[in-house]
Formats: sequence, structure tokens, C-alpha cells
Amino acid sequence: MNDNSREESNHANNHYLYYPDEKDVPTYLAYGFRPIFLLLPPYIVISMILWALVWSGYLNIPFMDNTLTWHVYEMLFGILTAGVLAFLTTGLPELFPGMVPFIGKRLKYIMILWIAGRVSFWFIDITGVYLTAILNLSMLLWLIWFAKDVVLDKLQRHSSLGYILVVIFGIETWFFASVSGHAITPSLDILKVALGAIVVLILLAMRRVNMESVNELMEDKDIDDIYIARPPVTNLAIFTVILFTIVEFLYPDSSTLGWLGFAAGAAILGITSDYKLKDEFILNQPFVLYYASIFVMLSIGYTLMGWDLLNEDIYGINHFRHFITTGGIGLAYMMVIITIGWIHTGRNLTSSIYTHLMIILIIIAAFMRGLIPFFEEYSSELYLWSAIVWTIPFLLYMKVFYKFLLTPRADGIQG
Amino acid sequence: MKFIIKILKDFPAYLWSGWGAIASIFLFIAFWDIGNQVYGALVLPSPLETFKTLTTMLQDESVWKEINITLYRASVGFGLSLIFGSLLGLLAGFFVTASIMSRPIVTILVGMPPIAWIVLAMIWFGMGDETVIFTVIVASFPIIFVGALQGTRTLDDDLKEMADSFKLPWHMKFFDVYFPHIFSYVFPAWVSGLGMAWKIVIMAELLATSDGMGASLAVSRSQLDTPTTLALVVIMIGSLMFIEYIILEPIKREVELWRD
Amino acid sequence: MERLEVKGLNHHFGFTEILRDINFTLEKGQMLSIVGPSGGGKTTLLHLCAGLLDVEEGKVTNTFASNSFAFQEGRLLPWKNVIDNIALGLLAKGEKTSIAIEKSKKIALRFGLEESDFEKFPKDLSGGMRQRVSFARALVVEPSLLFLDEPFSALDIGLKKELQTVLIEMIANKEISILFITHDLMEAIRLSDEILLLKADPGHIVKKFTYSLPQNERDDKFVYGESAKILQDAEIIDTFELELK
Repeated sequence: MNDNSREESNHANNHYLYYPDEKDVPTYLAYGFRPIFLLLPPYIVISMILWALVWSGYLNIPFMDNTLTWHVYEMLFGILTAGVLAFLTTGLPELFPGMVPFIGKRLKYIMILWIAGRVSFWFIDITGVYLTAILNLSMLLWLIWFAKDVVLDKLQRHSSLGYILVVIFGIETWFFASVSGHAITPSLDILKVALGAIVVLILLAMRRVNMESVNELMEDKDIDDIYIARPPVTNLAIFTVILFTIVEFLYPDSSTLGWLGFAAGAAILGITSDYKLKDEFILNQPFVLYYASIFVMLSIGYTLMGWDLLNEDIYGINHFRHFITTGGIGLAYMMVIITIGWIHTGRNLTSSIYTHLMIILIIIAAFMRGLIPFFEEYSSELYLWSAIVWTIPFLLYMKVFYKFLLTPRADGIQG
Repeated sequence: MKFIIKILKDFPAYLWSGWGAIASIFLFIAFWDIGNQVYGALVLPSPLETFKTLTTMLQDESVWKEINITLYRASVGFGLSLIFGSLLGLLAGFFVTASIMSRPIVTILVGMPPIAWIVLAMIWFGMGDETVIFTVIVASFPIIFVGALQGTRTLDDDLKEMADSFKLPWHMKFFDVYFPHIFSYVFPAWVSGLGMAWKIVIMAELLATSDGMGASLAVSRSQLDTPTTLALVVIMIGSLMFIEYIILEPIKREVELWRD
Repeated sequence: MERLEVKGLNHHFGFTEILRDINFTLEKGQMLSIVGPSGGGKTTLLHLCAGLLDVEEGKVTNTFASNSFAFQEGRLLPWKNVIDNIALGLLAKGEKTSIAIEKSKKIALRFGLEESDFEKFPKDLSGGMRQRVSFARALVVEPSLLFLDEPFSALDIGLKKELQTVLIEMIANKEISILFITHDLMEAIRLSDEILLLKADPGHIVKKFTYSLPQNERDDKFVYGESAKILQDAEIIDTFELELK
């Protein structure tokens, strides 16, 4: 995977073979991740403020009389499409050298589609559910079309990414069918299935991001070893998550589901065992700990959900689920935007007090949100403060990375 | 000493690498739970109920007494097999005649079903410790004996010659050339011998004694007390897994680090 | 004066005659090669000289103060790491462990092994590296007589040349005497003061070639020229069965 002979300053040689010769591409459209990383953090900040206002009653958006469902929908799918767009447009030319990066005008149109999807979401009571459905589904559909090479690849090296996107598209369609009255499945149940599929997508994507960047990090620091995230370990985790998701949909209260929660928790935690390398010790590298924290949070989430199902004295499964959403998925997005923000702007992965804070604050927020069942008397404070603490890392991201995103690559390469 | 420190140093990483195994155990328990829901608690108690029974049992002193009795029988039997199996195996391995002669005898020992040994032992020794210990010995001795025999038989002549060319003194020849090779055969044999001993001790107790875990199993069976039965099974499997995966496997890994 | 003298040596394995009436002398500082086709009793002869086999008929007199052996396939102890393997001979001589380790590290570096390789087990080494370790193990004891059993046959050209250069240097300094067996004539011509041709069934010496040019002055032209010459020799053609049938 890593060609040792490649020049130290030329990490970009791995990123793509051809760069399109489009004229007058503004820097913020020079590569797929740039516009997204410029828009996603402020969108998260603004939407968290809006949610706070909605939940506390200051702002009245009825959301078809089902605010919780739509909150979950937007936190899952609205952010997902942005994250996937960044991952695919940046990652695919790297996984498939020869693929031309997606930039410039066409990138702009897709970004407009994403923004339109967000606007239509917040105005859903005015513009109607169908417009929201069409805009958001077509966004995801475009992403799948963009990733078609992955599925059609003869060697099927990364095809699982494509297949899971198709599954997620199916789930989103199902969701819209449910909220518009064309399907009878409760929409919240569908969203739980969607969460399972998204965790699978994250496990698949993070295996690749994780491996690329940890090895790049070791190369930067002259650590002579190789990190391999073994596919079977990830596959076991994915298998248990799928099993959990299906059983939860069919038998949400069964004790079997509890044991499956433990199984998923253990299997996901198992992914971190690959960080023990043959010769070198890398657990003192901040970025390794960052990546590991994603799996730890996901694992805590599934384990606690399993424990909840087997324990008659506690009813907090949907609180514990926030270790997965607020914690694991939040960290995964954060790590993707940090990693790409460094490497693809022509820099080395660098940790600082800011990156430490971005990760730690998300973890703290997840604990505040997830442990509400144990501190019922402070629940309203915890709801509010966990949201605030969770938002700060995205503000920090804007502070640290905006200047990189708005200027050309530090190593002078296009993109 | 250096060796023990190395094992302890690698121990956390070894433990951490076990999450996948733990996950599959939980998957197994989930299937067990399905079995409970399909066939009902009388046939197959739920895992949760079993584990609860287990915790109450472990707080009961009389249960620990039974466990200790079984442990005593298993360790005496296994210990004797270990010492005599290894020594006689080594000895037989050094003499071609002895190894040719011992082969068929070992085949007879291995081929004889343990249940037949138990019956014979009951006739010879009556109902008691001796019967159980004897059965454990006949079951685990051949495994260890064959391991030691193989280890000695397969010593590499080329390495012996190399040792001669450097005129290694006898103690270096033994510790640096012969021992590591033989140990790499004997140790796995000990591990499987131990597994065998642990299974056989329960079976012998169930048939031939009135105390020990095997006897407790017989009692719980006659009372149709499935949760207790399963809890006893969990203790047996749990203790074997603990010895094998927490104690022996890390040692084995360190010992066999040099192997492909 | 140190020397290895072989007189009237015969050897049998069971009823098969392996060697018949072998006579030669290896003087101090000399490199003597025994060449012949595979299966011609070369290794047996070497083992007899090194005392790894018991002499049945004839006489082998070895007055060298010390000797060591480098084998064709390395023969490293698989459960010992690189340094412990090299130190084996030193420890057998009763050297203190710390000194033995120190010396082993030094010679390992000289033979192109890297510090990161020191802790590795043989299974993690390439064939060439294993052979370097084997050489280092044989030479670290500073033997006055070295037995070489086709140690270069499995190596690539570069590594072969590297190890040969080390030997040539040692011979030039008169540090060592070498009894070398090989089936490669060019190798023998490059390294030896004297070549004995061993013909098979049973092994017996049919011819002797002597080269007086110091090894460190032999260039490729010399080696190729002498090889071409020697390949015309009737005994060589007969021994190696070179004629087309």
C-alpha cells in the first residue's frame, strides 16, 4: 500500500494520477472535501442551536408533529451525506488511482444540492415532505452513482462500501415512505435500522481511513513498522452489528438482543487490538488514540444497550444509544474531517491541544448524554450541556482548519 | 526470570486480543438464549437464569468443597501423568527399540474408551478417589507420553552435528539444542492432556463417587434441576478456559515465538 | 607448525565404499579446495577431517589450535535469536556471556547485519541473512582452521562476492587456513591456493591444481581465463561428465 520509494514531500502522489484541467477553479472548490468541510461544521453549530431552541420551546417548528423522528433523521442522514461526499470524493481517487478527482463547477452543483436538502428539511412544514424526500434521496443516489466504480471493480476490493450505500438508500426511501403514509413501519424503528447500517458504513470506511493515516503517521515519525487493520476483525464487528440491528427491529425487547449487544460491543472493541504492532509501540501516538476512541465509544454503546436489555431495573436503551451516535459516529466524522483536513491540504497529521480538545469534548458530551439514566434529576441540564459541549469541537475545527481549507495545498500540489 | 517478565509484559496485549473470542462466546450465548425461548426453561434454562444460579452457587461453601475435591483428583492424576508421561516418553524416544515397542501399547491405551477404564477401575479400586485418579491417569498419560516421544524422535541430526562441530559441552547441548525442541512438543501435549484430565475427572466422578462436581452433576440431573446442571457445566468449561487461555496459552505463545 | 594432514584415508558406509586412499596436507595460511560432482563423497571427507565422523582406516592429523565449521544450509538454532546463535561457539568455549554477546554484535555488524535484526529469530531472516549469521558464528571464535561446506551455493551473486571478499582478506592477512569443498570450479579458482579434484564412486583424488597468484590480486579476467583452461582438462571433463553423449 505504501510505496517506500515515494518522496517525503510528495504524499499527494498517492492521492490521484490526473487532475482535471478545469480553468479558474477557486481554492474552496479545488478538491471534494474543501466546500464540505467549510459548510458542515457551521451547519452543525447552527442546527444544534436551532434544535436547542426547538426543544426548549423558543422556536416553533412543528415538523409534521413529530419532532423527535425528524431530529434523529437529520442528525443521521443530513450529516451522513456530507461525510460520505467528503470521504468518496477524496478517498476514491486514492483507492482507485486513475480516477479523476471531482472538483470545480460540478462539485459546486452537488454542494448546492446538499444545501437545498438542508433548507428543505428545516422548511419541511412549508415545502412539504415530498420535496425533502426528492432532494435528499437524489443526493444519496448521486453519491451511489459516483461510487459505481467501487461496485463494478472487478476485484471487488472496496465494493462493500458501495453495497452498504445502496442499503442506506433503501432505508432512507423506506423512511420517507413511512412518514408520508406509504409504509406502515413506525418511522423511528426505521431510523434504528438506519443507525445500524451507518455504523456498518463507518466501520468499513474507518478501517481504510485508519490504516492509511496510521501508516502515514508512522512514516512521518520514522516508526519502522506496518499497521494492518485485519479485515476479518472488522467483518466480525460488522456481522454482530447487523445481527443486533435485525434482531432489534424484529424483537426489540428480547433477552437475546441483550447478548447480541455484548457480542457487538466486544467485537467492535476487538478492532483496537490491531494497534498492537509486531515491533513498535504506537499507542502513545495521539492520533492512534483518537481513532481507537471511535471504537471504544461504539463498543460502550452496544454493551450498555445489551446490559439494559438484560437488566430489569434500568430503562435507558435510547440514552445509551447516544454513545454510538453522539460518541462513536460524532468522533468518526470528526476524525475524517481532521485527518483529511491535514493530509489533503498537504500537511502532516499533527496533534495539538486543539485536536485533543475536539476529541475529548465529544467523548465528554457522549458520556453526559449517554449516562442520563443514572442522573435523572439533572436530565434537563445534561441534555442542554451535552449539546453545547458536543458543538464546541466543530467551532474549534473552524478556527484551526478554515485557513487551510481556504488556501492552496501547503506542498504546492493541485487539489 | 527474563522469560516470566516477558510473558507478563505481553500479557495485557494478549488479553486485549481476545475480544473477538469474547464476541463469539456472546454470540453463542445469544443462540443459547434463542434455544431457551423455543424449548422453554425446563429443557434449557436461559443464560441469564443460569448465570444467576451460578452466582448463588459460588457463594455457597459446600459447592466450593465439591470443586476442591474435583480439583484435587484432577491435579493428582494429571500431575502423575505429566511426570511419568514426560519422563518415560523422553526415555523411549532416545532408544529406537523402546519407541518401536511402545507404539502399539500406546495405541491400545488411547483406543480404549475411558468408560471401559472407569468400569475396570470400579472393580479394582471400588468407589473412591483411586478410581477417579486412576482413570484420569490412563486417559491423559498416553497423550503426554506420545508428545514426549515425538519430541525426542524428531530431534534434528543436522543441529546435533552443528553442536558437535562447536564442541558444545553436554549442558549446553541439552539446554540449547535438545530441550527447546522437545519442549515445543511436550508442552502442547501437556495442554491437551490437561483438557482430557478435566473432562475425564467429571465423568469418573459422576459414575464412581458420591462427592465432587461430577457427583453434584448426577444429583442435579436426578432432580431435573437444569439451571444447576448448566451452572455446573459453566463452572467446568469456565475453569478449563481460564487455565487454557489465561495461563497456558500466553506461555505457549512465548515458548513458540520462534516457530513459523 | 599447524597443519592438517590426511594420510591413506578410506571410508565406508556399510558396504558402500565412499572414499579411497585420500592423501593431502593443508598448511597454515593456505586455502585448499576439494571440488567434485555432487554425491562424490566431498562432505564425508570434510566431516572426517573436522572430526564429525570417526576415522576408520587411515590417518587424519589436525594440529591446528582451533577450528570451526560453516554449513551449507546455515544450521541455525531456530529458537535462538541472531546474536545468541552467533555467540553459541564462544559460549561453548567458556567465554563470559557479556563478552560473547559483545563480540557477536561486533561481528554481526561486520557481516552486514543490522542492529534491528539482532533480536530476530531465524524464521524471520532471508536465506542470505541466515548464511551471514552462520558465517559470523563460525568466524567469531577466531578459528585457525575453517571448514566450509559449500556455504555459497544458495546465495545470490552480490552476497556471495561480499562473503568471499571477507575470506580473501583474512587469507591475505594469514589469519586463517581454510578447507573448502564446492562443486563450483570458478569459486574454487577465485579462492584457492590448491584445488584437489575428487572423482566419485568411490571418491578418490585424481588431480591437483595449484595457483600461486595471491587471492586479492585475482581479477575476473584471471578467474575466467583459468576456468576456461581447466575446463579443457581431460580429467575435469571426465570427472564432471562434461562431454556430450
